[in-house]
Order: sequence, then structure tokens, then C-alpha cells
Amino acid sequence: MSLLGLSVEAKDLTKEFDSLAPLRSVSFKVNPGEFVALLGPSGCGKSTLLKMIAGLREPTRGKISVGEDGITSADKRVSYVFQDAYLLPWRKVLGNVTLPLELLGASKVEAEYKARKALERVGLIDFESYYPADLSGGMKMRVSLARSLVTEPNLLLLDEPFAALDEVTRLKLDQDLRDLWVESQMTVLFVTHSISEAAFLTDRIFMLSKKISGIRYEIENPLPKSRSMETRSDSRFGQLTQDLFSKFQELES
Amino acid sequence: MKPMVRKVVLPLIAFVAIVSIWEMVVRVKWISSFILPEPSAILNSLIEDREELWGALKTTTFSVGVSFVLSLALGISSAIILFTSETVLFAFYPYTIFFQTVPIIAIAPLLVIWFGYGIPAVVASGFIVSVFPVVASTLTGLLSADPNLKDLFKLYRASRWQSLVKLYLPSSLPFIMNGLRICGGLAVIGAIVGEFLGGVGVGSIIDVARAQQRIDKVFAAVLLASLLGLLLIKTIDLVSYLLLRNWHPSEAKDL
Ligand SMILES: Nc1ncnc2c1ncn2[C@@H]1O[C@H](COP(=O)(O)OP(=O)(O)OP(=O)(O)O)[C@@H](O)[C@H]1O
Ligand SMILES: [Mg+2]
Repeated sequence: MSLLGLSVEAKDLTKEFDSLAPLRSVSFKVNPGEFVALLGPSGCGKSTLLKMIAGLREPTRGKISVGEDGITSADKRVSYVFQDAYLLPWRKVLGNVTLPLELLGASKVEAEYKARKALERVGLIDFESYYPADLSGGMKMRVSLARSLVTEPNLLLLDEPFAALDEVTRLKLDQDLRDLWVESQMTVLFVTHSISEAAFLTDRIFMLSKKISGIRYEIENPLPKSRSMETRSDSRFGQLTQDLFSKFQELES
Repeated sequence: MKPMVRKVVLPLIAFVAIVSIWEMVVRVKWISSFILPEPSAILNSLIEDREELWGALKTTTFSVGVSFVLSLALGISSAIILFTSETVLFAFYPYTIFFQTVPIIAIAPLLVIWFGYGIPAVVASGFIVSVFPVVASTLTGLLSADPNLKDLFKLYRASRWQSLVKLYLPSSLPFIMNGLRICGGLAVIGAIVGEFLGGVGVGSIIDVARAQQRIDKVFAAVLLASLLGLLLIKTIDLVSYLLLRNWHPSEAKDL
């Protein structure tokens, strides 16, 4: 049985570096199984926030809880997709995708079986014996995505994963990610500074502001659950992006 | 220009030209053959003294091989120990740099006192000069693993052993291979220096032939020592290519 998505709750979260505090007293709650975007300009602390949620960095003050009380850490399957693919260059595609399972102690047979399934989902099953150096940027990103899915995460964190790709590849991957989420029950947090990407992908959008060092708006996405190319010509999509755009300008000014 | 011409024919022409000019210069006595023997004399020595030279070369190859393997094994493992414990790292790292600056020629006599004449002193000499580049380059490699990959391993709760074997060591492989290239060259130099005083191998032949004013034999021995070094480094190059060709830009397949 696959576990429900994990909730994420931040209370009075502050992160200070030597000279600046990109996040000051931030609070929010993401419900189990939600798809939420963290939208904000460069340098507003999106990556910092995501790393703290993943447990890779400690907050200066405040608290982050992932999952309801009583969930053991072994049941918290968190995956993280970086802005670049960050594959192990010395391993072939298959070896890169089995890595998380190996680290978590799965057997080789099980790891390879699940890795092949994950590669199938991202459309790269024919490339399992390629080295990363022989893949295109978009393919590397798909491998990275497969690597994050192989553990069947109940919380998936993505930090501008497709920002470095060309527009067409990016639209395709956005679509794939949304479909993957619809099939699963995982919670997804997606960092981006693209308004249309946030509008297309998610159910709720947190807009971060540099000025107040935190979340300024939480916006519900009125679009239906299943998204496709037609979604982009839906009038609600247009309204949402316009609303987001004017808020973005307001935050930037 | 065709690669064949560029890589084989041109160097070959240059070789023949230089050797011919050299032979001529000595034959017409612009330079005395006591200072610079003509190439034909060196060749002659290679043939006439072949048994002595061959025996010495085998001894030297053995010593260089042992020094190299010791440096590889102990160099990499001490780098791992330094890397695993910050306390050990800060306590000892300054000395690994200091030891690199000790001139081997100055301590070679000590090695003979400690190990006596013969192969052990030679191996010690080769090892001492060649181990530190391996330590330094391995450590640099271990410390330069990608921070994002470190985060990835942390996310999946990798043990220290898993991180070492699956992340840090593979990341440092290109650095280790560079260290081994330097190590190979230095192991030959260290061993020859050890042999000057240790009384065995090619180094000893150089020493004795010099005293007997057999300059041609000195050159023949030097030539063999250089070829030994070259062979070692080419072998390391080949291993490096085989290990890295699929993933590291330094050994990229189609340049
Ligand atoms: N380790 C660190 N030490 C000091 N300052 C840091 C550190 N990490 C991040 N910062 C600073 O914190 C701020 C927020 O960084 P962060 O990477 O979270 O921004 P971001 O919103 O992800 O930006 P981008 O969209 O460009 O990726 C930046 O001003 C950055 O310089
Ligand atoms: Mg960022």
C-alpha cells in the first residue's frame, strides 16, 4: 500500500546567514497530497526553504514538521530534484536510478526492477546503459526525475528542475510531472520563478517576497485537476497568470 | 596533416636527424667522446653490457614496482584516514607538505644506515618521494566531491561507508590518477637515487661506470632508467583511460 502524501508545516521559520535573513518568521501548511508552487524572484530564499524542508539545512529559529505526528522517519520518503540533474557521471543511467534504493538498503534485484519501472515512466527505458555524458540535458533531467521517483516518495521537492531546458522540453516535462502526480498520492513542492509554470502545474501557489522575507500571498488555483495542452488556453489559466503577474510586479516594486 | 604523419613520421624524422647530427659532432671531435659519447657507442654499450644492464634493470624495475604499489596503497589509505577525521587531518596535514620538501638525496645515506645496502633501502627511497603526491591528490579529490551530490546522499541517509565507496572515492578517481602519474615518475627517481648509495640496480651501474669513466655505459643506463619511467607512466595513462573514458572529460572519447 502506498502511503498518503506527507503534510508539511512550518512555524515561525527563520533562516539567517551572516549578513542577511532571506526567511523571517515564515509559517505555512501544505496538506497531504497537495501540489504547491513556491514562486518568487531570484534570491528570495526558495532553495533555502526547500533544503530546510528536506532536512538538508537547519533553520536558525522555528520549526518544520514533515508528516503528521507518529510517522516514523523510515516512512518519510522524501525526494529532491535539483536545478541541474546532478547524476553520478561514473554510473550508467540504470545505476543512477538504483542509487537511492541501494543507499536505503534494498537488494540489487529489487532496486533494478524498480529503477526500470521508474525509467519506463519517464520514457527512458531504452537508455539504461548510457552514461550521463552521452545524454541531452532534457534526458538527464528525466533520469534525475526517475531517480527521485524510484523510492515512491510521499513528499517530492523540486527546485526549478526544468529551468535550464528549452521551452518545448520544459512544457513536455511539466505535463509529465503533473500526470505523475495525478496518478500518485504524493505531496509535491515545486520551486519556480516562472508564472505560467506555477499556474499550469499546481493547486496552490505561495508567492514569496524579498521585502518581507516570507510568503506574501497564498493563491488557490481554480483549474481542474487534470491538465493538458488545452489548459493553457482556458480563460481561467489566463486570468490566473495575469493575477500572478500583477502580484509579482507589486512584490518587486 | 594525417595523424599518422603527425604522430609517427615527423617525430621519427626528428629523431634520426638529431641522432645523426649528434654522431657527427662527436666523430669530428667538436665534442670529446669523454664528455658526450656518440649514439653508436651508447648502442654498443647496450649490446656489449647487455647481461649486466638487463640484470640491473630487473632489480630496479622490481624496486620501483614495490615503491609504487606501496605508495598507491598507503597513500590512498592515509588520505582516507585524514579525510575521515578532521582531528587527524589538522594534526598531520602540515607535515605531509613538509615531508614533500625533504630532498631525497640528503636522506638517502640515512636510509642505507637504517636498511643496509640493497633493495630495502632503494624501495624506501622510492617510496618516500612518491607517496606524498598520492596522499595530496587523493585528499584534494575527496574534499572536492560535489556538494549537491553530498546532499543527495544525506537525503537518502547514506552511511559513511556508502558515501565513501559510492561518492567520495569515485569523485576523486581523476585526482588519484593524476597523483599516480606524478608518483610513477618520482618512484623511478627515488629508486635510482637510492641505488646510487644502495649499490644495486641501474643506479649503481651509473655510479660505477661514472667512476670508471665509461660515459657510454652511463648513458646506456640512463636511457634504460628513462624507458622504465616512460613505460610506467604509459601504463598509468592506459589504466586512467580505461577507468575514466566513459565519464570524465579528461579522457573523453572523441577529442
Ligand atoms: N550558505 C549560504 N551562506 C550565505 N548566504 C546564503 C547561503 N545560501 C543562500 N544564501 C543567500 O540567501 C539568499 C537566498 O538564497 P536562495 O538560494 O535560497 O535563493 P533562491 O530564491 O533559491 O534564488 P534563485 O531563484 O536564484 O535560485 C541569497 O541572497 C543567497 O545569497
Ligand atoms: Mg534557488
